[in-house]
Amino acid sequence: MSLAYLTAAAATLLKLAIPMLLGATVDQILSSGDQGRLFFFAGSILLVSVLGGAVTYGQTFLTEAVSQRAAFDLRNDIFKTLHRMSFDFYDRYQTGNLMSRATGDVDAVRDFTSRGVLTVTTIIFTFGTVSYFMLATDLRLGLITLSVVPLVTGFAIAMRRRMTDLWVKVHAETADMTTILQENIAGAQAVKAMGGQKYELNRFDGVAESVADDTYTTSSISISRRSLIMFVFTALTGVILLTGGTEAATGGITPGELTTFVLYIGLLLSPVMGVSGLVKTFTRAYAAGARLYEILDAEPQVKDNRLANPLGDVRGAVTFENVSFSYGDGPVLQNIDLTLDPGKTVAILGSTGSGKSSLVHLVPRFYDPTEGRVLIDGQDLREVRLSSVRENVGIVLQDVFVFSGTISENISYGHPSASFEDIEHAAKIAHLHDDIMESHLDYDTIVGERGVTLSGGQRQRLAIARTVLMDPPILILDDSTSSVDTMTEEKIQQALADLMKNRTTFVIAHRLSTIRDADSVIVLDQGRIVEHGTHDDLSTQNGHYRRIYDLQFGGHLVEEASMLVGTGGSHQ
Amino acid sequence: MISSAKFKLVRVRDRSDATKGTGDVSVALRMFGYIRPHLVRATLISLTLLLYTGTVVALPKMIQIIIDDYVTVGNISGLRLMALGFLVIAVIQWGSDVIHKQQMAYVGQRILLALRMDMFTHLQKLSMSYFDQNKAGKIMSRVQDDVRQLQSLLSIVVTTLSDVLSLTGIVIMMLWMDPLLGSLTMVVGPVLVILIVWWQKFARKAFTRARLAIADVNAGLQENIAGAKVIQSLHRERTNIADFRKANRANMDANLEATRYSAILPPAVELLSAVALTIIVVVGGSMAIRGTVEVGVIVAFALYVQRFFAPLQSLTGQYSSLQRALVAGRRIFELLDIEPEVKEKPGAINLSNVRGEITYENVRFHYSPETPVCKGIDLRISQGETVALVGSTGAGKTSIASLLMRLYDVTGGKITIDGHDIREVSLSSLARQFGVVPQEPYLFSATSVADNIRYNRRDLSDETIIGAAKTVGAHDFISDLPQGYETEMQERGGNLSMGQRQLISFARAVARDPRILILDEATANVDTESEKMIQGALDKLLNDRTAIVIAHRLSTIRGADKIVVVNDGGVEEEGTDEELTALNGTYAKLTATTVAV
Repeated sequence: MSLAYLTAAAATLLKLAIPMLLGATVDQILSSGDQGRLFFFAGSILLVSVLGGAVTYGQTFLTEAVSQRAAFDLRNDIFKTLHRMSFDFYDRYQTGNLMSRATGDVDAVRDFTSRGVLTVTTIIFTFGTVSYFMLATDLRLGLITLSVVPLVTGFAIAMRRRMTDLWVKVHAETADMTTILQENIAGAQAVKAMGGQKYELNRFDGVAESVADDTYTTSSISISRRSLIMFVFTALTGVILLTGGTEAATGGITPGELTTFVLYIGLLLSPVMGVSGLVKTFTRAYAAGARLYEILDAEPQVKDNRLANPLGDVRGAVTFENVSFSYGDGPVLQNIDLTLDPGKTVAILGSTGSGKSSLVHLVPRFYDPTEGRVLIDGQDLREVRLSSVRENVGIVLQDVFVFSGTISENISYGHPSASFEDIEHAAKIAHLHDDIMESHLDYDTIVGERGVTLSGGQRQRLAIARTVLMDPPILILDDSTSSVDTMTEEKIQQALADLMKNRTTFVIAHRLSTIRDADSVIVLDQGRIVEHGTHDDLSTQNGHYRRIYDLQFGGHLVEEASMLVGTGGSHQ
Repeated sequence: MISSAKFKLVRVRDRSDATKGTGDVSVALRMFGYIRPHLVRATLISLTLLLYTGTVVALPKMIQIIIDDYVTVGNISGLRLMALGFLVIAVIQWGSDVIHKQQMAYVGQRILLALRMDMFTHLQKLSMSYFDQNKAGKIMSRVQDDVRQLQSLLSIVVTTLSDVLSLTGIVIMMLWMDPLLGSLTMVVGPVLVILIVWWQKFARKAFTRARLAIADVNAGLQENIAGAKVIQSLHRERTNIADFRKANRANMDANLEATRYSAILPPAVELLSAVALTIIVVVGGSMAIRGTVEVGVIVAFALYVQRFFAPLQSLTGQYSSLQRALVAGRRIFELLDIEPEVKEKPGAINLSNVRGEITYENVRFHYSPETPVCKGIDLRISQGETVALVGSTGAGKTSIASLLMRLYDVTGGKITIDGHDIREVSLSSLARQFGVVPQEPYLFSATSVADNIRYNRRDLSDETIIGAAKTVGAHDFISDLPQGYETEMQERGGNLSMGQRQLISFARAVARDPRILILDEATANVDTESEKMIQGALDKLLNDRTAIVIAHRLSTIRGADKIVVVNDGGVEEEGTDEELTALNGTYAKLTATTVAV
């Protein structure tokens, strides 16, 4: 790092030698007229440039290396931190927010370490050297230059401040414009169905006009600022020509020195232009650094005890002992007591927000309970190694995440070392294999963001295949199969049924058949278990279960019934 | 086994390559159409640019005169006058600089605005099939990135013009001051051009590699953040950290490699400029000693060399920017040239006082000819009737409803409302007849709940809005929101539950008091309480309107005046619940299994 400063200083000094050499040339011509000296000056100019070039190259490379290294380390640290964080962290921060920190903020810091360092050194040395020479040769000229340059620099910084506010406004307006555009594309059907074209056009026009106007105002200020700085420097050259010219004419300084001054003004211009940008680079990097430390210093709620023993051979008994849980605001689960013997299935019922998801999320220790304990085979989850808990609990939820990669990589995502036979076997059990074949895909087809989009049903069975490959003794399922056609639905149900065999299973139940087949049923209401028993027990009582049962399955049809129509229908 | 999706990608790319040959010129000409309204400003820009370039060339010459005719001979009173002249030129330079740049910024923004408006207007006209076929991200990037790229076309043109002018001016001035010294100094010019062109060939590859490398890093981050919960539940953190480290290192290496190239250019240019200075010192200096040129010429030449390289360097970079801008322009005009499939006929009549009688006459429809969706639908729906469409996914139910709203046009046969072919009436009057409740409600963000219900019907009063919300049972939860009806919607209605979003969608349809209702029953799991509410809202909504319901609930189907069983793109059975049960066909089988459940 200090080497970078040193080389930047050297490069600047070498660059400043050239106007002096040119000035000396002028004086040489006017005084002695020794042609041999000209070759000496010319040679010096070349030599200085070669040296200066080499040093500049080294310095650019060095600063870039330092800043790239910093960004590399920072990204690695962020990435590790992200995976150290538990679920509560991801509830707090949205993907877009974290992405902007990991990309934009890292870039801001990198930008400062490379460009910032460079500009500062260049400015200090250019300005320092030029002022020294000017003051040494002619006090008056030196003082004129020295007073004007800081003034202009201050002005440039002040103008930049004003622009910053305007830029913020433009950014906000541009974001609005993007939103409208996005909604009109994603929601094209809604807009058309309501005949909202004209209305949308007016909305878009309004914000697009503001973007155009305010962008113009901003760049107009920026143009005025640059032009004014340029003018001040040109005018300064004029003043130097007058005062310096008078001095030179009367012999106070030599014409060569006057030449050097004029050329120096040109060298001062670009650092002054750059200094206002530097302020921005610094403020950006400072804010970015603060945001990055917020992430890097965050503490996960669920902490892994790396010295703890792994779970060992799990039979699959799960116990909730007086468990209460909260995300921070109100209680989500209260005093849950539940014991599940190995291989048994419990169906969980309850309306949205009753705590079903929160309950099952405690089993793989996505969160820690705020009170009470969750145990697997009698061991408190907080006292065993986290990875061994996750290895023993398989999850198939509604929303399935597909990673960019091949189908087989996606199936073996939790088991990168699985053989192809195992992967194919898992796909068969999950009823995914036939589908892959029928859709003219194969196991090497790239899926996810940059590849083929899988249908909802295929994604769900992908998750099932993943879990089959994991072969966990404990299972968490959501049996809902929304927005898939009936044939697929049948396959998914079969796959789920196959998967559940001989495993301890928590199933968030939406279908009657699941509930009937479960060993027991619990009904959650506002975070409490309000009923607990078998289907037969509960359906005879006139309680919560009965009510939900009637609502959910009473007037409901086609989900299960249209299977019949579906098989007769034409499916492409 | 070849993946069909991969094959498709290849084919699409081929097509865009094929259009590539056609017209950089035509793109430029069409761009000119956008400049035309600003011709006065464009003239002003050209004039001030010319003036500005003149001052840039004049100032060093001025310095030469000051040194040679005043400083070295000691003419102080003349020097003052010349200094004043120098300042006057500086002021002119300042003025012309500000004017031409600001005017350019203005014209640029106006053109950008015009392009954006044209694209947005055109997107509004394009039919649903366009949005079905093109991913939202791709369309977005055309309107945003391509427009931005194209905007740079203008600044490229002006910069190029300014560069060429400066270069010409400097060359003429140097040759005029001393032909021999001038031509010798300029020898480095072509060397620089050759050097840069040669350099670009290598540098571009390195930069492309760096761009791809950072894209990999960002994709890794994106996936690991968005999928963090899944990755942790599959405990794959360690593998991913190692993978990321690799991508991250590759990115660092690629960037340093690119720096190896980018860092070499500035020193090389400096060196060439030093060579030019060397020539000036040796040749010019000797001439000055001999007295064939004056010493001020040396100073002026040194200043010209400073100004000579910048435009030359910028010119060599312009070509690739120009290419990029033209490609962007081509893509934009391609979009603007797509003919909307659904178009309003010239002189289309306005549909008013609609009773709500609908007929489908032998309606055929397909998205692509190989896979017909509707194979001759005949259907008659009387005023006020509720029709339930029943059938498996892919049977064509949704298409039947979409065709009525003219989201697509039929490919054969016709659809009429009150006897008017819907292709003969104006699109806006057609849209006014419908209230639509789609399966997945679409809510608009950054607008209040009230405005989401009102949407484009600015004429609807607050009372109407609240009344509609009360009718569907949405009033209570809306009132409970932080700012009630004025609560801002988050993206896609993220601050509401699925059931609540449905209810707002219902309220939207009720507030419009449409003659015809189109309803796609949600199959997604809304919680039981909301479902009950929706059911209640539905009954009120259907009352006294013509309605087409894509039905999933038995209660809806039984309550319908007419049930239409759609199968394989045609109407298989049609009648009341009793009639169809008696028929003992598909419908009977369907309901039988339901009862068994």
